[in-house]
Amino acid sequence: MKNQIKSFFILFCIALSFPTQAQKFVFGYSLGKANYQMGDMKSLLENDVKNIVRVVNDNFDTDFQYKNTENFPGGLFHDAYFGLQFSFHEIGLQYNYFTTGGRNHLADYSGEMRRDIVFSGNALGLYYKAHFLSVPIAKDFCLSAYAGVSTGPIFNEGNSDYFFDLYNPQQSQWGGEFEKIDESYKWNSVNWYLQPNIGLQFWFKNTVSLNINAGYLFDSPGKIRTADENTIDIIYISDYYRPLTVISSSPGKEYNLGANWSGLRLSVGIGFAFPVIKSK
Amino acid sequence: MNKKLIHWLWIVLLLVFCTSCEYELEETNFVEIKKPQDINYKIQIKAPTNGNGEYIIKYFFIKFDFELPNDVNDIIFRLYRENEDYNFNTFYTNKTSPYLSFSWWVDPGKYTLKCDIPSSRTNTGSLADMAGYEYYGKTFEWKIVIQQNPIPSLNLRYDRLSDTTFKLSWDKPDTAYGEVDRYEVYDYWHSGKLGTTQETSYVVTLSQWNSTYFVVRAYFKESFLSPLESEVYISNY
Repeated sequence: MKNQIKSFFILFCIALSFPTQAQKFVFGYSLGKANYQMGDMKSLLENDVKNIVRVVNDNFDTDFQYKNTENFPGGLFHDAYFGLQFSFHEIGLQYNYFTTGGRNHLADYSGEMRRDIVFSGNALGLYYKAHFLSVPIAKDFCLSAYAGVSTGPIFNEGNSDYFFDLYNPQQSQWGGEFEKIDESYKWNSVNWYLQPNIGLQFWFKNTVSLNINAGYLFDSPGKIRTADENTIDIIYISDYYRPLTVISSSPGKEYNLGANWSGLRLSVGIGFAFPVIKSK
Repeated sequence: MNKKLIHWLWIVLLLVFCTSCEYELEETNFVEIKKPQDINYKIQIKAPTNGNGEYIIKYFFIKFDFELPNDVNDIIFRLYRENEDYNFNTFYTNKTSPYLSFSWWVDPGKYTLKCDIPSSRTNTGSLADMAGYEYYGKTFEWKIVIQQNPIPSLNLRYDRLSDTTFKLSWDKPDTAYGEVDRYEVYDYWHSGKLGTTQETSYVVTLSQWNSTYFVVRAYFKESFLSPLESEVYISNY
């Protein structure tokens, strides 16, 4: 990971030399639809449901209805870029924001139990585009096509919440008072991504463009680490002291789990181009 | 730098900032479950109260009125001295014996009496039910003042009506002690049981032996109370 970050900054420094040759600054914003693999997180929630349902059903001869309600769906992502274009080539910095989440949930008249995981990824990378086609289609309008690739780190922030509350609990049969559980754990990790993409740009007066982009993000997830001081290992929800779920959250602990943002990316947006001002 | 360029750059950054919101979880899974039926529990101490709401326990026992569901039989009482958190005595009883009795080791004074009705799961299958915080059962608590008064005496006495006829009379026991079911009168030395009465007097005659002990026993409706007994010696000598 350290070598990758070093390579990234070397490329960035090389790119800083390009302004002397560039024809114009370009920047823009796109909004798109993405899907995310998130395999480890999906397994985490799936195992959470399986373990709890098994323990409760075995002890109470019932059909416990704790289930997954949201499973890290794809969603909107944001893409902003700032670069330099010189004839055929364009290079610059790109920022992407992804977010998704999952939930296991059960509620009834007496209370609520849920496990939420939400992840956000801030991707900051270098991009390169090769504008291989530029065709005037009307006065002041021009269509251009490009193929490109972007790469860089994704800085992930995750939040895992455990919540269990009873609305009107009686005192426990063994004399204990009910204590609400509302534990939250922050996770951090750093991924590395590579995204090839192709796109079309409809230019107006070579200044404003409407962009359509399609690509696929390949993500190499880093291991998540806990950021908080919590040390609860097992949560009990009754005085029977039967553990219904097990979590471990020592500070700085590393898990063999990652937030994998791999998936399709489709976006539309606007772009702007301004000529480079040459100093006299 | 071109002012237009900076202007549009800020707009783009603002767009990114405003629209980059973290994913919001909204889906829920609410399960309809029938709530448990209300069950009435009633345990009432049968004793008067003072101005502080404390029950006055005159003797060595406490009587109760019970209204409990069919599946509840065993009842546990715990006695706490005033201002203490640990119970220094525990009593076990059941629905068919609505009383608890204590003896000399319970000094006169103020106490707290607590009662736990053993609980059973509501079996609704709700989260509270499976977590152990929803059950049929209840805890009662009373402040009591134990007086440990002596057991009442019948104070049996007689009046001569003629040479061989006497009227026995006695005191009705304190109703706080018990409700009399009947009095039985005995000629202790000779004839045995002479009769039964609901009144507090009885006419007896001396037998040919000219002396005897007459005994009156008071039997109570509360089955846990032993009969009170009093005797008087009458002689024609």
